[in-house]
Amino acid sequence: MFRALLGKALKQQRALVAAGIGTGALFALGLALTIGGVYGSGPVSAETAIGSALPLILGLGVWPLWALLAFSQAFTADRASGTESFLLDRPVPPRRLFAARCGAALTAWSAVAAATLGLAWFLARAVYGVSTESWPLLVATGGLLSALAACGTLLAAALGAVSLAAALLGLMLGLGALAAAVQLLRSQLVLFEAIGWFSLWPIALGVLSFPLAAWVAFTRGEPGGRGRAQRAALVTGVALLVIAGVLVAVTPSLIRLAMGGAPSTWQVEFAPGGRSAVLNGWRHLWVVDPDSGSARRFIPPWSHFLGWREDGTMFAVATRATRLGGESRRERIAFYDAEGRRAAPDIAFARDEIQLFGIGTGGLWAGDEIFFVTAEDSEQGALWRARPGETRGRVAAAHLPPLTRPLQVTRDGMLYLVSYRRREHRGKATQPALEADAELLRFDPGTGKLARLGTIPRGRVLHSGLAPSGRYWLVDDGGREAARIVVRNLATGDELEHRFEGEAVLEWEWLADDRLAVMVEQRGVARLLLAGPGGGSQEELGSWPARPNWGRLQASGDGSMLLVRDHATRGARVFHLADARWTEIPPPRGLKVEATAERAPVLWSWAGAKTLVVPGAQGPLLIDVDAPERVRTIAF
Amino acid sequence: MTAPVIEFREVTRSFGGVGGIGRRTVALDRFSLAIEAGEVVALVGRNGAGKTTALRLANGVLWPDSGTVRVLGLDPAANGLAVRERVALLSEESALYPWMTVGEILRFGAALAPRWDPRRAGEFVERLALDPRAKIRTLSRGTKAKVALALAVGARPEILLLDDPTAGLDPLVRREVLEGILAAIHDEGGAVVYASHLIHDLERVADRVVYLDAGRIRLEGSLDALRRRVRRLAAVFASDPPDLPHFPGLLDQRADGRTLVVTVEEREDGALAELSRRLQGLGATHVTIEELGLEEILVAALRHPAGPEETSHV
Repeated sequence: MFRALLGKALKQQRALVAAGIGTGALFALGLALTIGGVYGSGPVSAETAIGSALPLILGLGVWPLWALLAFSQAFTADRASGTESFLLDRPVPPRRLFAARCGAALTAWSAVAAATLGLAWFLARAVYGVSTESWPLLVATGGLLSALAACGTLLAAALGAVSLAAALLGLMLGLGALAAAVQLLRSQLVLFEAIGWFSLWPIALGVLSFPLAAWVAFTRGEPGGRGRAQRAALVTGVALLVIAGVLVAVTPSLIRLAMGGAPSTWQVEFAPGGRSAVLNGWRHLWVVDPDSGSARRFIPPWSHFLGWREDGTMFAVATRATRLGGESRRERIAFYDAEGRRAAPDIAFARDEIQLFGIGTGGLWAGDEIFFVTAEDSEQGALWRARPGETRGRVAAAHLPPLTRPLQVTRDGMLYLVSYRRREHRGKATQPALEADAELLRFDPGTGKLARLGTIPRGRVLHSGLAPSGRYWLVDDGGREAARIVVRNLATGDELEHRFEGEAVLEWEWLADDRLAVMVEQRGVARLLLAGPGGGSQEELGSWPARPNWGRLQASGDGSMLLVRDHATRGARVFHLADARWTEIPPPRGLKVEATAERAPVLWSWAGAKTLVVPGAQGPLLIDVDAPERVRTIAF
Repeated sequence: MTAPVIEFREVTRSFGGVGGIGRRTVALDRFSLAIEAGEVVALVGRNGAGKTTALRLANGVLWPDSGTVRVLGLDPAANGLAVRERVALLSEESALYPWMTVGEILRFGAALAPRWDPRRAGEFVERLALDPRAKIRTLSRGTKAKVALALAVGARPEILLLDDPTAGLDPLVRREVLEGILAAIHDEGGAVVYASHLIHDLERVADRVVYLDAGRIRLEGSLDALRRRVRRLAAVFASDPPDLPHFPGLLDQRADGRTLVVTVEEREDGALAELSRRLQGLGATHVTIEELGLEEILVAALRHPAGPEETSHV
């Protein structure tokens, strides 16, 4: 029976196949005429006419059109000519009929595609000898467009409504084009950009739901046709809902997956006190619960982290996110609480305030306000202040020196900034010279006054640091060339040189009480020393064999402990300043170890008052200093 | 008593309107009918009375809104393929592919009919003088009807559903087709349901007549019983005739000068005599009783507006 149905359907396609092949041949003939200049405004090259135009016309024009015609013929011609009841009135299984119609349409289209492609290939290779290297892409595109046309036609036949099917197909095509464009052009649309090429799959499945809808419509229910359109609409509607659901449901999972796959690329911004943390990716921010390791909330993209408030209850981001997930041209400051919920209305800025330059790299909280610098790299930079609950940001200090960046907020609430001054240049050169000076600035949030505190050579900025009290400025650490440190008293301007026994200063860190922890290398031994800012006796806390790329020193948030990290396979150690004891932290299982394991430093850091964080293979690992054997993973 | 080969029980089917939206047209309204094997049943009624709907419900192409349909013991909605293997539907405008030849369409029909009998089909092709090489599009309407008949009987149906297949054909072709149908059904001992407006054709072949109006049966019975039970009374009055008060089985009454012509179905013995007495009581000077042909009976029934539950089984 199937053969009879297929044979009958194929016979009905004969004229269409002949017309398709004839159309392709006519196009080929027409283009061949342009080569000799017989037709058209002038001779056209064979490469252009046969090598490029002909496959384009076939793949993007003739084939999709014939797919549409072939499937229309198969599924609507009998109905249109009033002969459908011949089959309906007989014991013909609807599924076989559906399959035969699909088979006939596919065969007819294939015949047209193969014949026209064969003719084009013959002309290109045998007659004109032009390249066909670019054809596979066009052939694939033509096949894809033909499949879309076939799917849309099937849905139209089932719904009995061409316009609705065309609208649905257009919706799918639009979504697919959007998803592809987002990936190809690296444009910024939250959903598709976030889940990557995967976004094309649900859309493709959406298109494939069209023939499924047609199959359900034509093979189920009353043969007379009642309910056919409703069945097709139901299947399509369910499919669209599933697609939307899948897109919404998988997006967070895929983002987590991406994060889990590359945890080291994420900066963990722990709240002071460690109650919460922000995973800071390129344009994705997640609020996570360090205790359970679970994700709390996803912060809309086009946001970059500015900083936690000192009490750890709120953080600020600079954002361009719109409500629909797109990117606005205007930047705002948004505030979130430790759970990732909105904590205050956004603070917007007028277009001419910061739009031209954008918010800088980071913000610093001083009391209840966050400060940030706009136009860091411009001559017209400004220090801004924003207070949660207000609707407008305010300029704290205008006309900052060029290349000014926030540095630190000291214990007395003063805001320090550093300006990378540059020498005068003619013309538009703006990059600072290495020999230029860096200037330390202090802003008093209470009085709004900006004070200039002195300069150091720009090249030393990375080797400088401000004491927590704001009274001392370490301006020179020897640059690993000498075991000495120079500390400047900012009140008097006096500089004091600390000299240590050894060859170089490996690391140093200000402690809460303005003492300095200094790691000095001496004949292959790394010695950890404590020194007062004003000089005096030095206290040795411990010593170990010196290794290249020694880890850094980091004081805990409350200043009670000092982290000394070691190489990947050696773990870390924590010094308790109050009772002068050490806690050894062994390397946890699941530590992310690079190929150069022995020499690679591990990015240990504080994640709370008594918690350390270290990158793990499956995500950041959290370790309690009081119970180092307890290792928790932040699960994405 | 054998089980009916076709049985409709309280079947309702309507068209139009989806989910309560839009106007719905009721084609069959609590329609009940049982047809025995070997019977030829005529379905008559105006256009839109529900005849075609009933046939398509029996074929399983349409499904009922409510009620049950059984054909050869099967539910056509659930077992449509099995039913259509044993039932053939022949319609007025038989949907034949115009681009096929007679031979091609017979071969195609054969491929779709599991019980196809080539010998029988060949006999009909010969009997109806069909040219296998002729294109369908070149055939006259009558010849197309013959092709459709050959296709139908070639499938060896146990039940033949005819939806006015001879409408518009000349008397000679009609006779040929009807004889073919009768021969086929005689051979198989099956049932025929014949929906038509051609009363004379029906009178020749039908055992029973079912008159449908607005989706309901108005009149049903064997031809003999209808002819026997339905009578026309002509009552002559001295002046203009009065209206006849309600009388059980009254199908039609109309005044023709001083004569009141009444068509009535005799539902009980002695009803005609009772009606005659009533007419005389109303002043009729002379009452005559006439027998009627089927067409006259149906025309009378057609004129009489049916009450909501009014059905006559004769």
